[in-house]
Amino acid sequence: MSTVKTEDGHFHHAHHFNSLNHQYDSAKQGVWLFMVTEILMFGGLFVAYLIYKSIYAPIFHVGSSYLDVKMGSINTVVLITSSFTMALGIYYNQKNKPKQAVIALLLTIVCALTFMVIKYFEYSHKIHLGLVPGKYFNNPEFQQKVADFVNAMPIEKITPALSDVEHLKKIAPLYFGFYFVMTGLHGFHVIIGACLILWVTIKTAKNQFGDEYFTPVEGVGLFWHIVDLIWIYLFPLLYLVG
Amino acid sequence: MEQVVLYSLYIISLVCIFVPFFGFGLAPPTVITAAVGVFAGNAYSLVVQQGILKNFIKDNKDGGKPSPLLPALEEAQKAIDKFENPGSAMKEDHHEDGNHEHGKHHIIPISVYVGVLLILLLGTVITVAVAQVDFGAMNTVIAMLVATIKASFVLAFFMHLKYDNLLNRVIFGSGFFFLMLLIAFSAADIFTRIAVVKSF
Repeated sequence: MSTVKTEDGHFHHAHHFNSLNHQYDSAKQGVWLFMVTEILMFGGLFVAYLIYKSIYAPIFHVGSSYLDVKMGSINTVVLITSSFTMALGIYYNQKNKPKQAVIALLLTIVCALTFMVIKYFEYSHKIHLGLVPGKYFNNPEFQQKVADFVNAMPIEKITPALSDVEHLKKIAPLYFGFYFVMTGLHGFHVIIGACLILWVTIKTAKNQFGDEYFTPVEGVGLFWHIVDLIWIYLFPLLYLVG
Repeated sequence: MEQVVLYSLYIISLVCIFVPFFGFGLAPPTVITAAVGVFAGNAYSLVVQQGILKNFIKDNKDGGKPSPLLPALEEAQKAIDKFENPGSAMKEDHHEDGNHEHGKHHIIPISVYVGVLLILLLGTVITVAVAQVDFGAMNTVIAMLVATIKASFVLAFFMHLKYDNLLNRVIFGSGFFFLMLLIAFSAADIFTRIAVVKSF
């Protein structure tokens, strides 16, 4: 790496920066720019979700009833806690306490793994029921529920897009397309985040960070908080708002 | 002089970019307003921030024949200086930052982190609890409102944005700004073109 710790325990910044602070700010600014691209990537999915939800609301209403709110809530708590321990990991690095920092970072990884295990149970349950996107969808009961729901709606609330019940039954897997793509992309971020946290944990354990230089921990922390941030929006949209 | 040419070219190119968007007949006022606005902004930055007036006065005083305009220009520069007091304070701030180059980063105490964690957990409980009650279309609004409050706490404290420099805040704000644009234009399209289901 461009920043090295010398024998006297001080860090030297790369030659093209004015100071250690300058290097830190530049690195962090780059991470923030990356965070903006993340927001825009997920933002596109959120907008697509909102568009289709406003047109085909009954499908999303019935679809969200197939998700387990309890598991989703536990996952939310797990992810919020992991954000907290990640912040602690940065805090202890700033305070020159690598031992506590390693514990906090390891707890973050444990939370990430817990999240993925719960996600695995949710996914396998859906796949078992045939609730998957596209042509692999195989759950006539779900389609029938959508049809029943629309038929039970008062006639003045039926919009032109909802008038053809057979068509609605055909496009019902739409909800699970959104569910799997959005949570899948998010889960992918969780896995990558866990790997990055493992990387900074190892570096912390090797005593490579201190109050002068902890840029990688801060950067990974920002990424991890963004993952948390996206789930904060994803959870109510998919699980609760039907 | 070269600055004037440079910025004239800038304004002309800006007009060229804007005209096809707004149409020749439709919105020339918009183009003109934008051009004048850009010109005013540039004049401001040239005179106040880069100090070309100050340099001009200095150059003229040092050189042989003093310009007859000089007293008036000096008056103007004094007025600008007075107007620019907060600006000069900012410059001093910046200088101080330079002295702090090897200073410590702002460290947020653990108690704040614990407080944020509790607020986030409380927010989750509220979101789940509210979803059990049927408020119709308001359910989405409430859920998004609580999520946004939670998100701003994460951004401000966990991501240290409250204590970060202005540039990082602007960068992140720009991301949300463009997301808002996307949502606004999509909503304008969908709500005017297709009948949507607002509630059951």
